[in-house]
Amino acid sequence: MSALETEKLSSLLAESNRKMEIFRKVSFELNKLVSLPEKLQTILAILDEQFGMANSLILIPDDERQMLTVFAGHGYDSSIIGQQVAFGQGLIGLAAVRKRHINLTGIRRKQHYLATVSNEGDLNFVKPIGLTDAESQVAIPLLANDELVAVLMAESRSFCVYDQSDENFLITLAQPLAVSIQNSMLYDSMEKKIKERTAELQHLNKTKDKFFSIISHDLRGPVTSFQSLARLFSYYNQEGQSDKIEDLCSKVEQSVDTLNHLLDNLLDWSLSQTNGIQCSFEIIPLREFIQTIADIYLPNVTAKEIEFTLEVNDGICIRGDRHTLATVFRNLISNAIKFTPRRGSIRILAAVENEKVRIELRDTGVGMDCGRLLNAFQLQGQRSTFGTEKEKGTGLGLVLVKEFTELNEGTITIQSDPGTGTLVTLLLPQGTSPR
Amino acid sequence: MNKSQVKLEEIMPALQGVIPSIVATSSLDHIPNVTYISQIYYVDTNHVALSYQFFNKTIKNVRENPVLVAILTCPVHYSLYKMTLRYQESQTSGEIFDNMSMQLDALAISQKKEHIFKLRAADIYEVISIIHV
Repeated sequence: MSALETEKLSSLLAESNRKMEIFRKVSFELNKLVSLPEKLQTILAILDEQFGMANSLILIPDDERQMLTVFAGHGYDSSIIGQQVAFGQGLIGLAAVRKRHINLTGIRRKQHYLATVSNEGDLNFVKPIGLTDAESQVAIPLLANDELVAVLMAESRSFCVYDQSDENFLITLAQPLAVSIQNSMLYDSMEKKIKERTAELQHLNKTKDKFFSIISHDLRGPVTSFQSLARLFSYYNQEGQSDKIEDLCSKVEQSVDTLNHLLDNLLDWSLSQTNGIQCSFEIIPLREFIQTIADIYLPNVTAKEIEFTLEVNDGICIRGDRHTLATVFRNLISNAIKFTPRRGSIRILAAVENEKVRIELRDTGVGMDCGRLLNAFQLQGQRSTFGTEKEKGTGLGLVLVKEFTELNEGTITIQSDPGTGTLVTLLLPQGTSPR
Repeated sequence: MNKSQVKLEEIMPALQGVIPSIVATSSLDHIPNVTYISQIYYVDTNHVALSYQFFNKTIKNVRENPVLVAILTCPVHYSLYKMTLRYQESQTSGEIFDNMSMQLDALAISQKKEHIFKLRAADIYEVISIIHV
């Protein structure tokens, strides 16, 4: 064997050893329990240190196979992370679409040649991702079970940087890399699912807590009051005080109303929490609809001597689900009555604005402070507040109002200050008036 | 490969298309034609390929008289190599065609000229000899 041949063989052996060492280091990194971006970043740094890949990227495709996003980059500033390239665009996009590796050198000269022979002397490049003046690029699709997992791209400003043996080495390296990325992504997606499921379970748990709290606290109130009333009935009956018994009847009626309202809300809310609400959209004449609901509260309005005005034109219609919207208006009107002192006023106005109906409900009630306003639509920490005449509530009213308004493709806002009353504004889809 | 003094693998940088190659052909009636070609592609230890994008004099000549001589320049050391080739076949599909087509597409797409530059075929040549000039 000649000295030249020995030298060649030694050089080949050294090269093989170097590549084995890279494999060992990369495999070690792939088995580490670290996040995927961190893992890939370290691997690119190893490829630079051992292989001279000074500028390299790993891009991950989206689910629709439209775009590839830079997930890890080495040799660029951090702004490259998150940049995107379309499938089929440039070397990277082409390698992704065709699931084939590609190795180019003399890129700028070849592009000049194409520009010249196509009679367009000026270069008109699509701005590449990475180096703008790369002369050599190699893109390797990382495939697992013939599915594109990522694209590894390396580039340089020099000519003939990646020879065929480098290319083959990168293709070999691509295999474990692809499997590892796929496993990590699977792991990440499972982690995400577990987090989502945990959040869902926590939400259900809070819902259950609230449910028990309402049952144990709010529902006990009216039942206890029935118990007391029954004792009073019995007492007055024994004493022969029929006039007192008559007084008690109105109190029974009031307690039944409160209990009914509470049970209605509780049922609606339970259904909404278990996605059991089935909306059936229809055109609803607004004035008639609100009037029917307001009539339910006429005794309360009369009892508190509240001035109630409904300023809604007959022609105005909304499009929505009658049942859930009834819950919305029932709660808003009942709240307004509850928090408006004796001889106060409640006004409901409506106007059409850009295919929406704007409904304003103004009261001269006690209003809400900033803290209460911020948590008005939150279930957590909600406590039923007594009205101006110790009327009871459920603490669910506004939570339901918001959920059901949104179910009807509407929005709700509340403006309020302590002592100055409250303005509730609803925007609901306009419906065409039935002829 | 007969009488070649240089192996194809030893001149890989010259086959990357960094510096265009000079190719000489002649028609059946011995009229020579000398032109530039952007790249001669490596196929295997005994074969190279030339891209056939436009029907030109070179293509016409090798179909009649299959011998082609190319002068290649190594972009690393600027060494010159004279390569004698014999035309074998024209491929319009397969791995060689796909690889060459993909390289052309990668360049053309970045300039939105993929509709202009399309590979019609990959012409496969047997390497008869390579001489360091």
